[in-house]
Amino acid sequence: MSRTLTEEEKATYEWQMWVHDFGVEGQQKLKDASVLISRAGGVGGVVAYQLAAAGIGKLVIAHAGNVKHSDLNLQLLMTYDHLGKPRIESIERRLKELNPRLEVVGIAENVNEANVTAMVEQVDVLVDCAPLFPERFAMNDAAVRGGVPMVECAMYELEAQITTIVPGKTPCLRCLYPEAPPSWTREFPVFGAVSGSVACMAAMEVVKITAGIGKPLLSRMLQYDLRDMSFHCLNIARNPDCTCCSEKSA
Amino acid sequence: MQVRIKLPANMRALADDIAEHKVQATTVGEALNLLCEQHSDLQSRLLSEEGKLQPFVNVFLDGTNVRELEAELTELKKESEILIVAALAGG
Repeated sequence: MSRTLTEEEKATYEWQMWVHDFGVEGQQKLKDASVLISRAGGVGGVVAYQLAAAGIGKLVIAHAGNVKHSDLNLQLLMTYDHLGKPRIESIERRLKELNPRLEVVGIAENVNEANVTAMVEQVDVLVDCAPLFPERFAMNDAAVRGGVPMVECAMYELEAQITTIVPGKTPCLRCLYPEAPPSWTREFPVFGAVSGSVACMAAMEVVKITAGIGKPLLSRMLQYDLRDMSFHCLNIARNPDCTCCSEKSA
Repeated sequence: MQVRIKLPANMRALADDIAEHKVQATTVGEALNLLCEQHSDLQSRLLSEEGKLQPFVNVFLDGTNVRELEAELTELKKESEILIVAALAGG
């Protein structure tokens, strides 16, 4: 059931409602929307924070483990005073500090094939920010099975890439990369500003597909390198032999 | 003809830490093979033992994914740019 915007919410979001094709109607759609974010680290944490700031109604966040020192250069929802304690507690606390109206469902687990379907069923949009390919493929496969749009965003060093997947219409992650690179490791070079840059774009993709404004990155991948500030918006196509989303896979 | 190949960040350490390389070639496959001859550690990151593109990279020739063209056999044009986009999962 739709809950109309309160006066406090109208005051809070006044400036973004000035975006001409967004307005009160777009803000209401954000309030009515729910988003699953797989890991709220350097990318996902900023996605969550931006969506909380923008007035999203509900966030479901999956993130296991305890806060470590090496989280603190990029994972902006983790705080020094929470070192050694569950990340999901820090995530929920920080988001509620920013937006006490936000409904947060914190899950102290990372996404896997066994738990992903139950998470996906709770939401309207997914944002894939996990640091390991098995988690990303599990999210992708659940998105395709459930017909749920997913923003796919990732980075390494000073590079990042992002696309928005609409199952049945755009390439899925397995269309792009049928297999994970054997050389990928859990730990990777990262500045928080790089992960944050692609995270802000991912949050805007969620806003756009939720509110129906602008042109999301459908069948396009934005690939960029902040080392030389080169940006490529690349057309991408579905793989007719995709093991996940093609007719042959059915 | 001479073409430019831009490597992703996670492959540059395998190629003298250089992002952009220039080779003389007539097809995408030839260009990648030449680059791999100069930097042998790149071989398994880019090409299978059969010389096919690895399933965890995409290669864009002047903005078009070569899998939508003739893949490794895609012919190059003068001053073409080959952009290699690797699967990333950094989050």
